[in-house]
Amino acid sequence: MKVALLLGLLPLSLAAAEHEHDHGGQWNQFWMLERFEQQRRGGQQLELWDAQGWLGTDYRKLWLKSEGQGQTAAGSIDTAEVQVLFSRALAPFWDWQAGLRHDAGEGAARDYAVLGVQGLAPYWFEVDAALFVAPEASHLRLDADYDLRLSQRWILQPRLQLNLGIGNTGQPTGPGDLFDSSIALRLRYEIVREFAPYLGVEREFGGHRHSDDTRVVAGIRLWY
Amino acid sequence: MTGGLMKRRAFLHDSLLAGSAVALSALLPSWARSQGMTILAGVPGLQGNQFDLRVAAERAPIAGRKARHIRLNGQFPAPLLRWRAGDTVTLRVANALDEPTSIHWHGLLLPWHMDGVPGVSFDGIAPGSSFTYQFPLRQAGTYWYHSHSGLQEQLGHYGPIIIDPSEPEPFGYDREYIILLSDWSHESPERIFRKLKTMGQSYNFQQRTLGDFVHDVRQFGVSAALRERADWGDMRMNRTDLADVTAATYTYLVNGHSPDENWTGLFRPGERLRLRFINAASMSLFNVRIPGLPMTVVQADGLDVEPVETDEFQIGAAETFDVLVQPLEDAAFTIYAESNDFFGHARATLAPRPGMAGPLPPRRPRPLLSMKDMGMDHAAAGHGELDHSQMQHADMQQDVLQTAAVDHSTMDHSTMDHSTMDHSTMDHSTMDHSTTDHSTMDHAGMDHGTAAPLQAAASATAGPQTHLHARGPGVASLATAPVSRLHERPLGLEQEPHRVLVYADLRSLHPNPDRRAPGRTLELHLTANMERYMWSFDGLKYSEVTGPMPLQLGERLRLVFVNDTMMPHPLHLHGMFFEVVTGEHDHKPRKHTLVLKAGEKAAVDLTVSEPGDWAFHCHLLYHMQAGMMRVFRVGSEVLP
Repeated sequence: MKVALLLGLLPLSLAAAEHEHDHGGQWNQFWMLERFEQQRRGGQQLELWDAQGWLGTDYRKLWLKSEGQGQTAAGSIDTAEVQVLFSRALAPFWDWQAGLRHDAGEGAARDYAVLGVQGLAPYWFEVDAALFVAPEASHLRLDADYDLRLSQRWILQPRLQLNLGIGNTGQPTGPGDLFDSSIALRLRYEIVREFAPYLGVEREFGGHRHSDDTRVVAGIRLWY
Repeated sequence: MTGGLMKRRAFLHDSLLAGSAVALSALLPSWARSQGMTILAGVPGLQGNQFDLRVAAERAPIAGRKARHIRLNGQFPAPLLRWRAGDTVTLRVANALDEPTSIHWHGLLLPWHMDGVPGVSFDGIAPGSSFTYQFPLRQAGTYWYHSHSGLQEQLGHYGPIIIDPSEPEPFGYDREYIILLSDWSHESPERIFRKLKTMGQSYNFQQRTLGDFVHDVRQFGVSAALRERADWGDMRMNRTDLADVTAATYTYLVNGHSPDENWTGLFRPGERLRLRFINAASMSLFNVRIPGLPMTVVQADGLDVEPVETDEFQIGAAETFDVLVQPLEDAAFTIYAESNDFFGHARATLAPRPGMAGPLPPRRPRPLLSMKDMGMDHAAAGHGELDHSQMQHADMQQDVLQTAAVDHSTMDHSTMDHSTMDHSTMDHSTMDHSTTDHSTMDHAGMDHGTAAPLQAAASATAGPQTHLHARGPGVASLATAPVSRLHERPLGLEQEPHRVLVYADLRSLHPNPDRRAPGRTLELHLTANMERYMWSFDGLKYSEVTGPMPLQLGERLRLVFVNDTMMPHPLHLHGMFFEVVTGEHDHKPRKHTLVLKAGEKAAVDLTVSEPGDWAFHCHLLYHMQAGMMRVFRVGSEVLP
């Protein structure tokens, strides 16, 4: 009798759960290919991607990030990294993230533990700061960019990436050393908000890979 | 997404298009058709007290393009239901969609399980099944009906209701038209919601640019311009965020007609017309005017008000206004309903003959949000504002009132901190806001004068905010100095030289039925994080609350709303009318929907007369979908 009653109530409570899900408990997703570009320096050509996206609710998300570069003409990928992160809303504008990063490519494959924060800093700076921990390769990374609106569709984006070696690291970098850092300026045109081609310049510094050079970049940015 | 939407069409072009609208109108219900050769005295529709309605998705032209949308009995907008007060109506609603649906009878007094909110009043109508609504009509006036399931309202699931009174009305007219305003997008509502959730600013094409900054530097100097940018940048709030979804994706419709299709209502010069305005838009507030024709508002939300003449009024989503106009000349008049971000418009024409079109008024510059819209102390000027929008202190007298009524001296803005609070340890599940006790406030001793009590009433707790509610990632800002703005014009209309209706202008024609002082006060804050597109009451989304908020049958309640967000919200209560506290008198306007301005604190009095579960929510569809909703449970148990 009791069971029958409970079973009878089940559809109602399921229906109620569905409606609650309707008013704030939804799952969402977001995918963005933020940079998909060709870089030119002298006669050399390099392709680069930088994508991220998430799946989840307002408070909890599964976050995926990937970036890397290579010479597709030569069929080689220099570096490629993938991050799988669990993210949780920490404050109105900030999420903390924790997970794993795997590096592949020409260099040695390596795995890191990741702990970071991502969000919107005052004055509209998009910030992604993370600590990557791996034997002899631990480092901090800071990514920051800003959208300067020249018009409703022309947007100039300065971008800074810093990688800072920490702890007792051997290769590739010692503690306190900057490596693979860059500063860039990209000018995009949002044909629609979801799709924008861009042109820009990027200058690397502190690096050992390509030392202190300036490149011209051209690419597209898209999101869904 | 096209910027071309905003290009103003040539007059000639419009007239040519009016012809094509006739062919199109064959698909429209008769009440929504442009009046062709015949002149109709009234608005035809489905009449009687037995109705069969079939909800189905169809592909048909809408805003100039074939699109899948929802039709009732094959019509978009849904058929007019014309009822007689005192009748009992029976409506069999069949669902031919492939998902559950529902109909909510907006503004009607009825038994709670007939109210049509899935999960609150009933289970919804499953695909392939039907549901029979039956209720007596206890009121008269202009109302409407729409789906309360998911985002179906955005897909066209809405239509008008007229309930003719049994007694003669206190005003006369020769002819009547429904002016049903709505917003249509060729993007799916799910896509719109996802874009809002992830890239919320993507529909805003009125952002401030480097050019605006240069302009401000020239006009106000580098440091003032920088300081103003810094103040808003510090809060991560956008002064141009006037509407979440804009004409970048919307076409605004009158009776299902796009501006190009130019819905036309005919008149003979000298006739008195009754225009029944209904805002059935999902996300849009409209500023409505008929250049050259003063409008006399005679009803608001279906109920009589003392006639008040105006040149422009704002109609929030879900509100209705009945106005009388009397065009004397043999000329065409444009009904112009501008979206509240001034970026798009709906348009229709009143004309003595078909095929005519009146001029379109020039577009007005878009306003900017101010610190007052943030619920902050606007009197402590010098930060956050450059006075170039010509929008501040438009009405000095009102502003003085405002400032006098609220003591700003005790407010401390230096403690406002939007970012550094630690919310990570907060447990939302155990919080019970339904029991928040505001009952200790004493309104009995309030001054019953003329203007000032208006503020006193609404700001019973004027001074620093003490109301406690959940903070957390969903709450990006708090209004530290909210004020009553019921006597203020809507944003951007402050400088208009003509008359603009404000809530304080509305007075119920009949004395309020219940003149008891409220026995207790319940305060609710409207909260949001626009960056994450989280919308809530008291920091909790509807998906996070543990149950309905209890109200006691028969009690007299004062609901105080504080808008912690920087957007206006049309707040809608199901099943009961509340009185908007525009002052302490017996002719407060009674409404089912109230637009609470940004940074506003306002009060409504409610006689809790209808037992059952009643939804209360922001009538901006995606705000409700994101969680800005509550349910009141009216029971006879004595509350602790």
